[in-house]
Amino acid sequence: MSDPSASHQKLDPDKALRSNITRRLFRRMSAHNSILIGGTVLGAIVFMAVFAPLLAPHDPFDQDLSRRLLPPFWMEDNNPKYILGTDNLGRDYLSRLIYGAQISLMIGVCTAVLSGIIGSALGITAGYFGGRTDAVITFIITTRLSMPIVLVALAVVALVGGSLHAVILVLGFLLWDRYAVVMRSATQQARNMDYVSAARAIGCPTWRVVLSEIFPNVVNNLIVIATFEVAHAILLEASLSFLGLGVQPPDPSWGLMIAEGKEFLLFDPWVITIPGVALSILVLAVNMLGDGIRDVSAPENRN
Amino acid sequence: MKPILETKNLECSFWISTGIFSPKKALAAVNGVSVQLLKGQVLGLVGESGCGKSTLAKMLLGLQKPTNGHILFDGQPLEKLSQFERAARVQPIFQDPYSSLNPRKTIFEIITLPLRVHKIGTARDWLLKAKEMMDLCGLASRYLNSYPSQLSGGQRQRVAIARALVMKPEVVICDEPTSALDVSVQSQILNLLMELKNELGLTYLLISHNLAVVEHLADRVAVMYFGEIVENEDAEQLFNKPSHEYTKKLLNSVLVPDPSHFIRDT
Repeated sequence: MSDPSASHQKLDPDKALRSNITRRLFRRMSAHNSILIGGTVLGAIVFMAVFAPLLAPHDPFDQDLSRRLLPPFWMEDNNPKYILGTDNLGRDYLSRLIYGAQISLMIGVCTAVLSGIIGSALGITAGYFGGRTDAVITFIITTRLSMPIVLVALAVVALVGGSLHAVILVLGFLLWDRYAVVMRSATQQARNMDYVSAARAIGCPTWRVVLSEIFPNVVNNLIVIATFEVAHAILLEASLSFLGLGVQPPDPSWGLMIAEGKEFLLFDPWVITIPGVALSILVLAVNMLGDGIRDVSAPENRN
Repeated sequence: MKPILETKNLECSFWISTGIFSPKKALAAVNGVSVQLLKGQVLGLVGESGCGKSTLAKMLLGLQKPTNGHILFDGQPLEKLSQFERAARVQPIFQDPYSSLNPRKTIFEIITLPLRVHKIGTARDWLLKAKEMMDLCGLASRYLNSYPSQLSGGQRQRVAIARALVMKPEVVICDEPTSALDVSVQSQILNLLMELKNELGLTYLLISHNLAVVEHLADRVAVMYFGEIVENEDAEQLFNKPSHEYTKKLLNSVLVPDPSHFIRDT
Protein backbone atom coordinates (compact mmCIF):
# COMPACT_ATOMS: atom_id res chain seq x y z
CA MET A 1 0.00 0.00 0.00
CA SER A 2 1.60 3.26 -1.11
CA ASP A 3 1.42 6.46 0.78
CA PRO A 4 -1.57 8.52 -0.36
CA SER A 5 -0.24 11.73 -1.83
CA ALA A 6 -0.52 14.45 0.76
CA SER A 7 -0.83 17.25 -1.77
CA HIS A 8 -3.96 15.74 -3.31
CA GLN A 9 -5.79 15.56 -0.04
CA LYS A 10 -5.32 19.22 0.66
CA LEU A 11 -6.96 20.16 -2.60
CA ASP A 12 -10.07 18.01 -2.62
CA PRO A 13 -10.09 14.93 -0.42
CA ASP A 14 -13.04 13.21 -2.03
CA LYS A 15 -11.83 13.58 -5.60
CA ALA A 16 -8.29 12.55 -4.69
CA LEU A 17 -9.61 9.39 -3.05
CA ARG A 18 -11.77 8.48 -6.01
CA SER A 19 -9.07 8.98 -8.61
CA ASN A 20 -6.64 6.95 -6.53
CA ILE A 21 -9.07 4.02 -6.35
CA THR A 22 -9.95 4.13 -10.04
CA ARG A 23 -6.30 4.30 -11.01
CA ARG A 24 -5.51 1.20 -8.96
CA LEU A 25 -8.51 -0.62 -10.42
CA PHE A 26 -7.32 0.13 -13.95
CA ARG A 27 -3.82 -1.05 -13.14
CA ARG A 28 -5.16 -4.35 -11.86
CA MET A 29 -7.40 -4.75 -14.89
CA SER A 30 -4.65 -4.12 -17.40
CA ALA A 31 -2.57 -6.88 -15.82
CA HIS A 32 -5.26 -9.49 -16.26
CA ASN A 33 -5.08 -11.60 -19.42
CA SER A 34 -8.68 -12.60 -19.92
CA ILE A 35 -9.83 -9.02 -19.37
CA LEU A 36 -7.30 -7.87 -21.96
CA ILE A 37 -8.28 -10.45 -24.56
CA GLY A 38 -12.01 -10.43 -23.89
CA GLY A 39 -12.09 -6.65 -23.64
CA THR A 40 -10.13 -6.13 -26.84
CA VAL A 41 -12.26 -8.52 -28.87
CA LEU A 42 -15.50 -7.17 -27.44
CA GLY A 43 -14.24 -3.62 -27.97
CA ALA A 44 -13.49 -4.43 -31.62
CA ILE A 45 -16.99 -5.87 -32.13
CA VAL A 46 -18.59 -2.86 -30.44
CA PHE A 47 -16.49 -0.54 -32.59
CA MET A 48 -17.56 -2.50 -35.67
CA ALA A 49 -21.23 -2.24 -34.67
CA VAL A 50 -21.10 1.47 -33.88
CA PHE A 51 -19.27 2.46 -37.04
CA ALA A 52 -21.02 -0.08 -39.27
CA PRO A 53 -22.11 2.52 -41.88
CA LEU A 54 -18.46 3.62 -42.30
CA LEU A 55 -16.87 0.18 -42.18
CA ALA A 56 -19.24 -1.85 -44.34
CA PRO A 57 -17.90 -1.98 -47.91
CA HIS A 58 -21.37 -2.44 -49.44
CA ASP A 59 -25.03 -1.85 -48.69
CA PRO A 60 -26.13 -4.91 -46.66
CA PHE A 61 -29.56 -4.84 -48.35
CA ASP A 62 -28.32 -4.53 -51.94
CA GLN A 63 -29.47 -7.68 -53.79
CA ASP A 64 -28.16 -8.94 -57.09
CA LEU A 65 -28.94 -12.48 -58.18
CA SER A 66 -26.20 -12.42 -60.82
CA ARG A 67 -23.55 -12.60 -58.06
CA ARG A 68 -25.29 -14.95 -55.62
CA LEU A 69 -23.27 -17.27 -53.36
CA LEU A 70 -19.85 -15.95 -54.31
CA PRO A 71 -17.30 -17.81 -52.11
CA PRO A 72 -15.14 -16.00 -49.49
CA PHE A 73 -11.50 -15.05 -50.02
CA TRP A 74 -9.90 -18.35 -48.98
CA MET A 75 -11.70 -20.35 -51.65
CA GLU A 76 -11.26 -20.54 -55.38
CA ASP A 77 -13.30 -18.35 -57.75
CA ASN A 78 -13.61 -15.63 -55.11
CA ASN A 79 -14.32 -12.04 -56.04
CA PRO A 80 -11.92 -9.66 -54.23
CA LYS A 81 -14.72 -7.06 -54.08
CA TYR A 82 -16.64 -9.36 -51.75
CA ILE A 83 -14.12 -10.55 -49.15
CA LEU A 84 -16.50 -12.88 -47.33
CA GLY A 85 -18.54 -13.67 -50.41
CA THR A 86 -22.25 -13.07 -50.95
CA ASP A 87 -25.40 -14.80 -49.71
CA ASN A 88 -28.13 -16.50 -51.71
CA LEU A 89 -29.60 -13.13 -52.75
CA GLY A 90 -26.23 -11.71 -53.75
CA ARG A 91 -25.86 -9.42 -50.71
CA ASP A 92 -22.32 -8.73 -49.45
CA TYR A 93 -21.70 -11.11 -46.53
CA LEU A 94 -19.11 -8.93 -44.76
CA SER A 95 -21.47 -5.95 -44.72
CA ARG A 96 -24.29 -8.08 -43.37
CA LEU A 97 -21.97 -9.48 -40.69
CA ILE A 98 -20.94 -5.96 -39.64
CA TYR A 99 -24.52 -4.72 -39.45
CA GLY A 100 -25.57 -7.95 -37.72
CA ALA A 101 -23.20 -7.15 -34.84
CA GLN A 102 -25.40 -4.14 -34.04
CA ILE A 103 -28.45 -6.31 -33.53
CA SER A 104 -26.72 -9.05 -31.56
CA LEU A 105 -25.04 -6.56 -29.21
CA MET A 106 -28.16 -4.48 -28.76
CA ILE A 107 -30.24 -7.51 -27.86
CA GLY A 108 -27.55 -8.88 -25.55
CA VAL A 109 -26.95 -5.65 -23.64
CA CYS A 110 -30.54 -4.42 -23.45
CA THR A 111 -31.80 -7.81 -22.31
CA ALA A 112 -29.07 -8.17 -19.69
CA VAL A 113 -29.78 -4.67 -18.34
CA LEU A 114 -33.56 -5.16 -18.25
CA SER A 115 -33.43 -8.60 -16.65
CA GLY A 116 -30.62 -7.43 -14.34
CA ILE A 117 -32.80 -4.64 -12.96
CA ILE A 118 -35.78 -6.94 -12.45
CA GLY A 119 -33.77 -9.83 -11.05
CA SER A 120 -31.51 -7.94 -8.66
CA ALA A 121 -34.38 -5.82 -7.35
CA LEU A 122 -36.33 -8.99 -6.56
CA GLY A 123 -33.30 -10.87 -5.23
CA ILE A 124 -32.03 -8.10 -2.96
CA THR A 125 -35.52 -7.41 -1.61
CA ALA A 126 -36.06 -11.09 -0.84
CA GLY A 127 -32.63 -11.52 0.71
CA TYR A 128 -32.68 -8.38 2.83
CA PHE A 129 -36.20 -8.46 4.23
CA GLY A 130 -36.60 -12.24 4.47
CA GLY A 131 -39.70 -13.74 6.05
CA ARG A 132 -42.93 -13.36 4.07
CA THR A 133 -41.37 -11.12 1.42
CA ASP A 134 -38.81 -13.81 0.79
CA ALA A 135 -41.48 -16.53 0.58
CA VAL A 136 -43.49 -14.57 -2.02
CA ILE A 137 -40.47 -13.73 -4.16
CA THR A 138 -39.12 -17.27 -3.94
CA PHE A 139 -42.48 -18.46 -5.22
CA ILE A 140 -42.25 -16.04 -8.16
CA ILE A 141 -38.72 -17.26 -8.92
CA THR A 142 -39.83 -20.91 -8.79
CA THR A 143 -42.75 -20.12 -11.09
CA ARG A 144 -40.39 -18.50 -13.55
CA LEU A 145 -37.88 -21.39 -13.31
CA SER A 146 -40.61 -23.88 -14.16
CA MET A 147 -41.21 -22.19 -17.53
CA PRO A 148 -39.02 -23.31 -20.42
CA ILE A 149 -37.50 -20.12 -21.86
CA VAL A 150 -37.50 -21.00 -25.55
CA LEU A 151 -41.06 -22.33 -25.45
CA VAL A 152 -42.45 -19.28 -23.66
CA ALA A 153 -40.45 -16.91 -25.86
CA LEU A 154 -41.71 -18.69 -28.96
CA ALA A 155 -45.32 -18.52 -27.79
CA VAL A 156 -45.17 -14.83 -26.84
CA VAL A 157 -43.26 -13.77 -29.94
CA ALA A 158 -45.67 -15.76 -32.09
CA LEU A 159 -48.56 -13.88 -30.47
CA VAL A 160 -47.19 -10.33 -30.64
CA GLY A 161 -45.13 -10.80 -33.79
CA GLY A 162 -41.37 -10.94 -34.12
CA SER A 163 -39.39 -7.71 -33.95
CA LEU A 164 -36.28 -6.42 -32.26
CA HIS A 165 -38.26 -4.76 -29.45
CA ALA A 166 -40.43 -7.81 -28.88
CA VAL A 167 -37.38 -10.06 -28.59
CA ILE A 168 -35.65 -7.69 -26.13
CA LEU A 169 -38.74 -7.35 -23.95
CA VAL A 170 -39.61 -11.04 -23.95
CA LEU A 171 -36.05 -12.15 -23.17
CA GLY A 172 -35.64 -9.36 -20.60
CA PHE A 173 -38.71 -10.55 -18.71
CA LEU A 174 -37.58 -14.18 -18.90
CA LEU A 175 -33.86 -14.13 -18.09
CA TRP A 176 -33.94 -12.50 -14.63
CA ASP A 177 -34.11 -15.76 -12.67
CA ARG A 178 -30.37 -16.29 -12.30
CA TYR A 179 -29.86 -12.71 -11.10
CA ALA A 180 -32.65 -13.11 -8.55
CA VAL A 181 -31.39 -16.43 -7.17
CA VAL A 182 -27.77 -15.35 -6.88
CA MET A 183 -28.51 -11.87 -5.55
CA ARG A 184 -30.90 -13.32 -2.98
CA SER A 185 -28.34 -15.66 -1.48
CA ALA A 186 -25.53 -13.11 -1.70
CA THR A 187 -27.71 -10.55 0.07
CA GLN A 188 -28.65 -13.04 2.76
CA GLN A 189 -24.97 -13.54 3.45
CA ALA A 190 -24.14 -9.84 3.46
CA ARG A 191 -27.14 -8.94 5.61
CA ASN A 192 -25.81 -10.94 8.54
CA MET A 193 -22.45 -9.19 8.57
CA ASP A 194 -21.67 -6.86 11.44
CA TYR A 195 -21.04 -3.91 9.14
CA VAL A 196 -24.73 -3.94 8.26
CA SER A 197 -25.63 -3.89 11.96
CA ALA A 198 -23.10 -1.09 12.43
CA ALA A 199 -24.68 0.93 9.62
CA ARG A 200 -28.12 0.42 11.11
CA ALA A 201 -26.86 1.39 14.56
CA ILE A 202 -25.42 4.55 12.99
CA GLY A 203 -28.95 5.39 11.87
CA CYS A 204 -28.70 4.69 8.13
CA PRO A 205 -32.14 4.47 6.52
CA THR A 206 -32.94 1.10 4.94
CA TRP A 207 -32.39 2.32 1.37
CA ARG A 208 -28.93 3.51 2.33
CA VAL A 209 -28.02 0.24 4.04
CA VAL A 210 -29.12 -1.66 0.94
CA LEU A 211 -27.51 0.65 -1.62
CA SER A 212 -24.26 1.53 0.07
CA GLU A 213 -23.50 -1.40 2.40
CA ILE A 214 -25.06 -4.45 0.74
CA PHE A 215 -25.10 -3.59 -2.95
CA PRO A 216 -21.33 -2.95 -3.33
CA ASN A 217 -20.68 -6.34 -1.74
CA VAL A 218 -22.96 -8.27 -4.06
CA VAL A 219 -22.39 -6.26 -7.24
CA ASN A 220 -19.51 -8.38 -8.52
CA ASN A 221 -21.94 -11.32 -8.70
CA LEU A 222 -24.19 -9.06 -10.73
CA ILE A 223 -21.44 -8.20 -13.22
CA VAL A 224 -20.50 -11.84 -13.70
CA ILE A 225 -24.11 -12.94 -14.26
CA ALA A 226 -24.72 -9.95 -16.51
CA THR A 227 -21.93 -10.98 -18.86
CA PHE A 228 -23.20 -14.52 -18.78
CA GLU A 229 -26.72 -13.35 -19.59
CA VAL A 230 -25.50 -11.12 -22.43
CA ALA A 231 -24.07 -14.24 -24.02
CA HIS A 232 -27.22 -16.22 -23.19
CA ALA A 233 -29.50 -13.57 -24.73
CA ILE A 234 -27.39 -13.35 -27.89
CA LEU A 235 -27.64 -17.11 -28.32
CA LEU A 236 -31.39 -17.12 -27.62
CA GLU A 237 -31.92 -14.35 -30.14
CA ALA A 238 -30.00 -16.45 -32.63
CA SER A 239 -32.25 -19.42 -31.88
CA LEU A 240 -35.42 -17.35 -32.14
CA SER A 241 -34.25 -15.78 -35.40
CA PHE A 242 -33.22 -19.21 -36.64
CA LEU A 243 -36.78 -20.40 -35.96
CA GLY A 244 -38.09 -17.38 -37.83
CA LEU A 245 -39.58 -15.64 -34.81
CA GLY A 246 -36.86 -13.20 -33.88
CA VAL A 247 -35.46 -10.46 -36.05
CA GLN A 248 -37.28 -10.43 -39.38
CA PRO A 249 -35.60 -10.39 -42.78
CA PRO A 250 -34.13 -8.44 -44.46
CA ASP A 251 -32.52 -7.18 -41.21
CA PRO A 252 -29.15 -8.92 -40.84
CA SER A 253 -28.98 -10.74 -37.50
CA TRP A 254 -26.32 -13.40 -37.01
CA GLY A 255 -28.90 -15.98 -35.99
CA LEU A 256 -30.99 -15.14 -39.02
CA MET A 257 -27.93 -15.44 -41.28
CA ILE A 258 -27.37 -18.96 -39.96
CA ALA A 259 -31.06 -19.75 -40.51
CA GLU A 260 -31.01 -18.44 -44.07
CA GLY A 261 -27.84 -20.42 -44.78
CA LYS A 262 -29.09 -23.77 -43.62
CA GLU A 263 -30.30 -24.76 -47.10
CA PHE A 264 -26.76 -24.36 -48.44
CA LEU A 265 -25.08 -26.26 -45.63
CA LEU A 266 -24.11 -29.21 -47.82
CA PHE A 267 -22.32 -27.46 -50.70
CA ASP A 268 -21.49 -24.04 -49.25
CA PRO A 269 -20.87 -24.61 -45.51
CA TRP A 270 -19.06 -21.26 -45.16
CA VAL A 271 -22.48 -19.55 -45.31
CA ILE A 272 -23.11 -20.90 -41.83
CA THR A 273 -19.51 -21.03 -40.63
CA ILE A 274 -18.90 -17.28 -40.90
CA PRO A 275 -21.80 -16.01 -38.75
CA GLY A 276 -21.40 -19.06 -36.48
CA VAL A 277 -17.75 -18.26 -35.79
CA ALA A 278 -18.61 -14.58 -35.26
CA LEU A 279 -21.27 -15.56 -32.74
CA SER A 280 -18.90 -17.90 -30.86
CA ILE A 281 -16.17 -15.26 -30.72
CA LEU A 282 -18.58 -12.65 -29.37
CA VAL A 283 -19.98 -14.99 -26.69
CA LEU A 284 -16.50 -16.17 -25.73
CA ALA A 285 -15.20 -12.59 -25.45
CA VAL A 286 -18.13 -11.57 -23.25
CA ASN A 287 -17.64 -14.57 -20.98
CA MET A 288 -13.88 -13.99 -20.69
CA LEU A 289 -14.46 -10.38 -19.76
CA GLY A 290 -16.97 -11.45 -17.12
CA ASP A 291 -14.55 -13.97 -15.62
CA GLY A 292 -11.79 -11.39 -15.51
CA ILE A 293 -13.97 -8.75 -13.90
CA ARG A 294 -14.97 -11.22 -11.22
CA ASP A 295 -11.32 -12.00 -10.49
CA VAL A 296 -10.27 -8.38 -10.33
CA SER A 297 -13.21 -6.98 -8.41
CA ALA A 298 -13.08 -9.52 -5.56
CA PRO A 299 -12.10 -7.60 -2.43
CA GLU A 300 -9.46 -10.17 -1.42
CA ASN A 301 -7.50 -9.13 -4.52
CA ARG A 302 -7.08 -5.59 -3.28
CA ASN A 303 -3.45 -5.13 -2.42
CA MET B 1 -25.18 9.10 40.59
CA LYS B 2 -27.90 9.10 37.94
CA PRO B 3 -28.04 6.19 35.53
CA ILE B 4 -27.48 7.30 31.94
CA LEU B 5 -28.94 4.13 30.46
CA GLU B 6 -31.40 1.95 32.29
CA THR B 7 -33.55 -1.03 31.39
CA LYS B 8 -36.73 -1.93 33.23
CA ASN B 9 -38.06 -5.46 33.01
CA LEU B 10 -36.76 -5.78 29.49
CA GLU B 11 -38.01 -8.85 27.67
CA CYS B 12 -37.41 -10.25 24.23
CA SER B 13 -38.80 -13.52 22.98
CA PHE B 14 -38.53 -15.24 19.65
CA TRP B 15 -41.13 -17.53 18.14
CA ILE B 16 -39.65 -20.89 17.31
CA SER B 17 -41.51 -23.21 15.01
CA THR B 18 -41.39 -26.79 16.27
CA GLY B 19 -42.99 -28.49 13.29
CA ILE B 20 -45.59 -27.95 10.62
CA PHE B 21 -48.64 -28.72 12.74
CA SER B 22 -47.48 -28.00 16.27
CA PRO B 23 -47.94 -24.42 17.45
CA LYS B 24 -44.97 -22.09 17.64
CA LYS B 25 -43.20 -21.85 20.97
CA ALA B 26 -41.91 -18.67 22.56
CA LEU B 27 -38.26 -18.64 23.54
CA ALA B 28 -37.42 -15.90 25.99
CA ALA B 29 -33.91 -14.79 25.07
CA VAL B 30 -34.01 -11.91 27.53
CA ASN B 31 -36.41 -12.27 30.41
CA GLY B 32 -37.12 -9.31 32.66
CA VAL B 33 -33.71 -7.69 32.73
CA SER B 34 -33.23 -4.51 34.74
CA VAL B 35 -29.75 -3.02 34.68
CA GLN B 36 -28.38 0.46 35.17
CA LEU B 37 -25.40 2.06 33.50
CA LEU B 38 -24.03 4.88 35.60
CA LYS B 39 -22.42 7.76 33.77
CA GLY B 40 -18.70 7.33 33.37
CA GLN B 41 -18.68 3.78 34.63
CA VAL B 42 -18.12 0.40 33.06
CA LEU B 43 -20.77 -2.25 33.49
CA GLY B 44 -19.46 -5.73 32.75
CA LEU B 45 -21.92 -8.27 31.45
CA VAL B 46 -20.84 -11.89 31.70
CA GLY B 47 -22.55 -15.20 31.08
CA GLU B 48 -22.29 -18.29 28.95
CA SER B 49 -22.96 -18.41 25.21
CA GLY B 50 -26.63 -18.11 24.30
CA CYS B 51 -27.70 -16.57 27.59
CA GLY B 52 -29.00 -13.42 25.91
CA LYS B 53 -26.09 -10.99 26.27
CA SER B 54 -25.97 -10.08 22.61
CA THR B 55 -29.76 -9.83 22.35
CA LEU B 56 -29.68 -7.34 25.21
CA ALA B 57 -26.96 -5.38 23.40
CA LYS B 58 -29.00 -5.40 20.19
CA MET B 59 -32.03 -4.02 22.00
CA LEU B 60 -29.96 -1.24 23.54
CA LEU B 61 -28.70 -0.38 20.05
CA GLY B 62 -32.18 -0.42 18.58
CA LEU B 63 -31.42 -3.33 16.25
CA GLN B 64 -33.96 -5.54 17.97
CA LYS B 65 -37.37 -4.52 19.27
CA PRO B 66 -38.05 -5.53 22.87
CA THR B 67 -41.18 -7.63 23.36
CA ASN B 68 -41.84 -5.97 26.67
CA GLY B 69 -40.31 -3.53 29.09
CA HIS B 70 -38.56 -0.19 28.70
CA ILE B 71 -35.18 1.26 28.00
CA LEU B 72 -34.61 4.66 29.54
CA PHE B 73 -31.92 7.00 28.31
CA ASP B 74 -31.25 9.85 30.74
CA GLY B 75 -34.65 9.09 32.28
CA GLN B 76 -36.47 9.29 28.94
CA PRO B 77 -37.92 6.22 27.24
CA LEU B 78 -35.72 5.31 24.29
CA GLU B 79 -38.69 4.22 22.18
CA LYS B 80 -39.51 7.89 21.75
CA LEU B 81 -36.20 8.56 20.04
CA SER B 82 -35.88 7.57 16.39
CA GLN B 83 -33.05 5.30 15.33
CA PHE B 84 -31.44 8.43 13.93
CA GLU B 85 -31.39 10.31 17.24
CA ARG B 86 -30.48 7.21 19.18
CA ALA B 87 -27.45 6.65 16.97
CA ALA B 88 -25.82 9.85 18.14
CA ARG B 89 -25.91 8.68 21.76
CA VAL B 90 -25.37 4.90 21.74
CA GLN B 91 -22.83 3.22 19.47
CA PRO B 92 -21.55 -0.34 19.20
CA ILE B 93 -18.15 -1.96 18.96
CA PHE B 94 -18.54 -5.47 17.61
CA GLN B 95 -16.74 -8.66 18.34
CA ASP B 96 -15.36 -9.54 14.94
CA PRO B 97 -13.39 -6.72 13.29
CA TYR B 98 -13.28 -8.80 10.12
CA SER B 99 -17.02 -8.58 9.55
CA SER B 100 -17.73 -5.23 11.16
CA LEU B 101 -15.98 -3.22 8.43
CA ASN B 102 -17.41 -3.10 4.93
CA PRO B 103 -14.66 -4.61 2.73
CA ARG B 104 -15.67 -2.36 -0.19
CA LYS B 105 -15.02 0.90 1.59
CA THR B 106 -11.87 2.75 2.48
CA ILE B 107 -11.01 3.49 6.08
CA PHE B 108 -11.85 7.14 5.42
CA GLU B 109 -15.33 6.21 4.19
CA ILE B 110 -15.93 3.84 7.11
CA ILE B 111 -14.90 6.29 9.81
CA THR B 112 -16.83 9.21 8.35
CA LEU B 113 -20.00 7.27 7.54
CA PRO B 114 -21.79 8.49 10.70
CA LEU B 115 -20.91 12.09 9.80
CA ARG B 116 -22.18 11.66 6.27
CA VAL B 117 -25.40 9.95 7.34
CA HIS B 118 -26.10 12.64 9.93
CA LYS B 119 -24.95 15.41 7.56
CA ILE B 120 -22.42 16.90 9.95
CA GLY B 121 -19.84 19.21 8.36
CA THR B 122 -18.41 19.27 4.84
CA ALA B 123 -16.00 17.03 2.96
CA ARG B 124 -13.12 19.09 4.30
CA ASP B 125 -14.23 18.64 7.91
CA TRP B 126 -14.64 14.92 7.37
CA LEU B 127 -11.02 14.53 6.37
CA LEU B 128 -9.82 16.47 9.41
CA LYS B 129 -12.17 14.57 11.67
CA ALA B 130 -11.13 11.21 10.27
CA LYS B 131 -7.47 12.05 10.83
CA GLU B 132 -8.22 13.25 14.33
CA MET B 133 -10.09 10.05 15.20
CA MET B 134 -7.39 7.85 13.70
CA ASP B 135 -4.81 9.72 15.71
CA LEU B 136 -6.90 9.29 18.85
CA CYS B 137 -7.25 5.56 18.23
CA GLY B 138 -3.58 5.04 17.44
CA LEU B 139 -3.82 4.53 13.70
CA ALA B 140 -1.37 6.13 11.29
CA SER B 141 -3.23 8.46 8.94
CA ARG B 142 -1.53 6.89 5.94
CA TYR B 143 -4.15 4.12 6.23
CA LEU B 144 -6.81 6.66 5.27
CA ASN B 145 -7.19 5.28 1.76
CA SER B 146 -6.60 1.64 2.63
CA TYR B 147 -9.21 -1.03 2.52
CA PRO B 148 -9.96 -3.11 5.63
CA SER B 149 -8.36 -6.18 4.02
CA GLN B 150 -5.00 -4.40 4.14
CA LEU B 151 -5.16 -3.98 7.92
CA SER B 152 -4.45 -6.37 10.77
CA GLY B 153 -7.11 -7.45 13.25
CA GLY B 154 -5.99 -4.98 15.88
CA GLN B 155 -5.90 -2.12 13.39
CA ARG B 156 -9.35 -3.04 12.17
CA GLN B 157 -10.69 -2.95 15.70
CA ARG B 158 -9.15 0.50 16.08
CA VAL B 159 -11.03 1.58 12.96
CA ALA B 160 -14.25 0.18 14.43
CA ILE B 161 -13.60 2.13 17.63
CA ALA B 162 -12.90 5.31 15.64
CA ARG B 163 -16.17 4.87 13.77
CA ALA B 164 -18.11 4.31 16.99
CA LEU B 165 -16.63 7.41 18.62
CA VAL B 166 -16.63 9.86 15.72
CA MET B 167 -20.04 11.25 16.67
CA LYS B 168 -19.11 11.55 20.36
CA PRO B 169 -21.72 9.15 21.74
CA GLU B 170 -22.37 8.97 25.46
CA VAL B 171 -22.68 5.21 25.75
CA VAL B 172 -20.65 2.57 23.92
CA ILE B 173 -21.80 -1.04 23.82
CA CYS B 174 -18.71 -3.23 23.50
CA ASP B 175 -19.84 -6.70 22.48
CA GLU B 176 -16.78 -8.84 23.22
CA PRO B 177 -14.44 -6.27 21.70
CA THR B 178 -11.29 -8.37 22.07
CA SER B 179 -12.32 -11.99 21.75
CA ALA B 180 -11.38 -12.16 18.06
CA LEU B 181 -7.92 -10.70 18.63
CA ASP B 182 -4.72 -12.34 19.73
CA VAL B 183 -3.56 -11.86 23.27
CA SER B 184 -0.91 -9.17 22.78
CA VAL B 185 -3.34 -7.04 20.78
CA GLN B 186 -6.17 -7.60 23.25
CA SER B 187 -4.45 -5.65 25.98
CA GLN B 188 -3.60 -2.81 23.59
CA ILE B 189 -7.24 -2.48 22.55
CA LEU B 190 -8.48 -2.67 26.15
CA ASN B 191 -6.00 -0.01 27.25
CA LEU B 192 -7.11 2.14 24.33
CA LEU B 193 -10.74 1.73 25.34
CA MET B 194 -9.96 2.78 28.91
CA GLU B 195 -7.90 5.78 27.77
CA LEU B 196 -10.70 6.91 25.50
CA LYS B 197 -13.23 6.46 28.26
CA ASN B 198 -11.34 8.79 30.57
CA GLU B 199 -10.59 11.26 27.81
CA LEU B 200 -14.10 11.49 26.37
CA GLY B 201 -16.14 10.69 29.47
CA LEU B 202 -17.74 7.61 27.99
CA THR B 203 -19.91 4.98 29.60
CA TYR B 204 -19.33 1.38 28.58
CA LEU B 205 -21.38 -1.74 28.60
CA LEU B 206 -18.66 -4.36 28.34
CA ILE B 207 -19.86 -7.78 27.27
CA SER B 208 -17.19 -10.41 27.63
CA HIS B 209 -16.45 -14.08 28.07
CA ASN B 210 -13.13 -13.21 29.54
CA LEU B 211 -13.63 -12.84 33.28
CA ALA B 212 -10.14 -11.48 33.79
CA VAL B 213 -10.91 -8.61 31.42
CA VAL B 214 -14.14 -7.83 33.22
CA GLU B 215 -12.49 -7.98 36.63
CA HIS B 216 -9.81 -5.62 35.42
CA LEU B 217 -12.02 -3.03 33.73
CA ALA B 218 -15.54 -3.12 35.12
CA ASP B 219 -16.87 -1.06 38.01
CA ARG B 220 -19.98 -3.18 38.27
CA VAL B 221 -20.66 -6.65 36.94
CA ALA B 222 -23.96 -8.22 35.96
CA VAL B 223 -24.10 -11.99 35.59
CA MET B 224 -26.62 -13.28 33.08
CA TYR B 225 -28.02 -16.80 33.05
CA PHE B 226 -30.80 -18.04 30.77
CA GLY B 227 -32.03 -14.56 29.94
CA GLU B 228 -32.06 -13.27 33.49
CA ILE B 229 -29.66 -11.24 35.59
CA VAL B 230 -28.80 -13.47 38.52
CA GLU B 231 -26.33 -11.21 40.20
CA ASN B 232 -25.51 -7.52 39.83
CA GLU B 233 -22.76 -6.34 42.12
CA ASP B 234 -19.70 -4.17 42.42
CA ALA B 235 -16.89 -5.88 40.61
CA GLU B 236 -14.71 -6.34 43.66
CA GLN B 237 -17.54 -7.77 45.73
CA LEU B 238 -18.63 -10.14 42.99
CA PHE B 239 -15.22 -11.58 42.29
CA ASN B 240 -14.31 -11.94 45.96
CA LYS B 241 -17.63 -13.05 47.39
CA PRO B 242 -19.96 -14.38 44.72
CA SER B 243 -23.37 -14.98 46.25
CA HIS B 244 -25.29 -16.77 43.51
CA GLU B 245 -24.61 -20.42 42.79
CA TYR B 246 -24.18 -19.82 39.05
CA THR B 247 -21.67 -17.03 39.58
CA LYS B 248 -19.58 -19.35 41.72
CA LYS B 249 -19.66 -22.00 39.02
CA LEU B 250 -18.75 -19.45 36.37
CA LEU B 251 -15.80 -18.17 38.37
CA ASN B 252 -14.62 -21.72 39.09
CA SER B 253 -14.77 -22.64 35.43
CA VAL B 254 -11.89 -20.32 34.59
CA LEU B 255 -8.77 -22.28 33.83
CA VAL B 256 -5.72 -21.11 35.67
CA PRO B 257 -2.34 -22.09 34.27
CA ASP B 258 -0.67 -24.66 36.48
CA PRO B 259 3.15 -24.60 36.14
CA SER B 260 3.45 -28.21 37.29
CA HIS B 261 1.80 -29.37 34.04
CA PHE B 262 4.26 -27.79 31.66
CA ILE B 263 5.24 -29.38 28.41
CA ARG B 264 8.85 -30.41 28.37
CA ASP B 265 11.19 -29.02 25.75
CA THR B 266 12.41 -31.94 23.72
